[in-house]
Amino acid sequence: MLPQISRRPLLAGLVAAGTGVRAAASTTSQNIKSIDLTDKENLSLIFRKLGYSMDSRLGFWHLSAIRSGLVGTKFTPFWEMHIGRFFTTRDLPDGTYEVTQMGLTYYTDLNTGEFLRRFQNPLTGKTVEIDYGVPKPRQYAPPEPSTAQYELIDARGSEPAGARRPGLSGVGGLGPAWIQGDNIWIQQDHLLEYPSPGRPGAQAHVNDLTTYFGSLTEVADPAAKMPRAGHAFTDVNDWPTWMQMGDQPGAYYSRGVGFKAFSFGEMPAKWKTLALQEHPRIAKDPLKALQAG
Amino acid sequence: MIAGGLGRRGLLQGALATTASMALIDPRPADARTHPLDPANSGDIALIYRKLAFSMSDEPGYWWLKGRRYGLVDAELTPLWDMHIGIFFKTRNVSDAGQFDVTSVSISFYTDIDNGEFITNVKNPFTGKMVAVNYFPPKAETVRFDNAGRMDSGAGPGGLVSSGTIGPAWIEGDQVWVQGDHILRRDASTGVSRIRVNDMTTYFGGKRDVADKSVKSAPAGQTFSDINTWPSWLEMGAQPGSYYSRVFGHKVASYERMPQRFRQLMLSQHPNIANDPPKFLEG
Repeated sequence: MLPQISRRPLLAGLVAAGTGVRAAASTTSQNIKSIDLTDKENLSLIFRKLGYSMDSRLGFWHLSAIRSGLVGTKFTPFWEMHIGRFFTTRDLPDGTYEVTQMGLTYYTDLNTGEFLRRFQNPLTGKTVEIDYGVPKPRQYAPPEPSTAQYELIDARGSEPAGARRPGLSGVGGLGPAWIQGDNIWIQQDHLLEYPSPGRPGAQAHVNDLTTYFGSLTEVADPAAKMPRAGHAFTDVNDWPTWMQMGDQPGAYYSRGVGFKAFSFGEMPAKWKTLALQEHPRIAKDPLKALQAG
Repeated sequence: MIAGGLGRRGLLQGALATTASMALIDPRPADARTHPLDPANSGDIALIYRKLAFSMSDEPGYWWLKGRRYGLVDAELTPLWDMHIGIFFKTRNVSDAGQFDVTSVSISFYTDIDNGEFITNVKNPFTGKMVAVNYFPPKAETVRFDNAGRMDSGAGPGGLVSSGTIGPAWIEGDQVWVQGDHILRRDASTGVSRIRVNDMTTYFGGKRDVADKSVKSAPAGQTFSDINTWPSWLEMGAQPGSYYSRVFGHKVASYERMPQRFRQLMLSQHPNIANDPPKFLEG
């Protein structure tokens, strides 16, 4: 079952509570600071406006991060990650909305800045081919808000049937969110597990932990359909199979920060160069690439 | 290429250096009003870090942080409590080569996730035991920084080995952000428990503010997370897992701009400090 997020509260909830949308348009953060952040409908709206958009136009996110190996509590930096993703949202007739998005990720050498196709793994000494995967558009319905405890979600519902990884399950959701002054931020997490392709009988884990942040004034403004926002991202995963880690204990860890962009031109120069070099068809027309899915 | 060489060889290149020393060693065109910001230059990284995280002046500054503490066991996060943190700081130039001291105090309060009440005891959801929260007494500490980060790296009191780094930094459009990390390690030995503290902070702000020489303390935010061994007071025993947190916050210019809830807790728990935070930094 897809998580259900009613669109009605998106129109009547957070910004308009008791005042109506028109009044909310001139509302400042000073008099809406009493927003109920335990209200799941409010969390849904905050997440959609910070993470995506209330309309259907094309939006972008960039993320600059460092990938490391975390063994015990020692970090070994591997490479820099240049991540760009682009998205559209679409309101559905049942009141929910779906997101269509695609990501292009590139790794570069920490010292030279060169694009990496192979990597000499410092933990094993082996040189391995990097598996970037094949970029393709994915549609998903955002997870349900979760205010106090992580709730079990049907993670399979976040992927189209053909893309589901067999045995995938997990927990996650939206929230909590906080407001301080004009700052507003919300967590969105996915904690997934699936049968390890490299270790028969074992489970592999993916923990994606994201905090989106932005301006309360913009999130509360009905006229601001796609507010400016930033995000901080961390993941703590099992090693990917292609790294050929064998029995090496530890975790595949990354950490980065990035910002929402409103056009391809606003994305980081390095990412644009790599996207045009490696995926020119997608880079030259991201919207068409999303629609091709 | 990101900021690589954070080694001390970059020390003399520091953008924190005085105008005179900059003119001698920095081949870049001088600009009276702005700093050149190159995220591959260790001196510039240090400047970005100092202006975002602290200040170029000796005026006291304040950070508020809010977030949540979790237990992370088998890739499952168990929320434990909310955290309300305040950091008061002031900086002092030490050398023309960019060394500076930061005197700071960090004060934390934990509140119940459901009712927001200040907690002094907590029921550990992993063990079922009620334990007393160990709030460390506030203490002002001074740490010296250079272009490579904290200069107190190495063996310290209690067998703890400290390692602090700054960078890499990124600049995209008018956004600039920089990482500043601090790691504490102690291996287990007879009568001594193993300790791992990984404090990972990313500071962000506006490039124009950081580059503008007239802006001494750039408006800034930070995201912070840590992955640590369990604190002894949680009485976790042999429970595997990590003590994990995620917080977000902003720098403000005055104590009065700190969150109301934090100031309430300060008045109830540390009234002497709350009444004159800058004085507490003086020691």
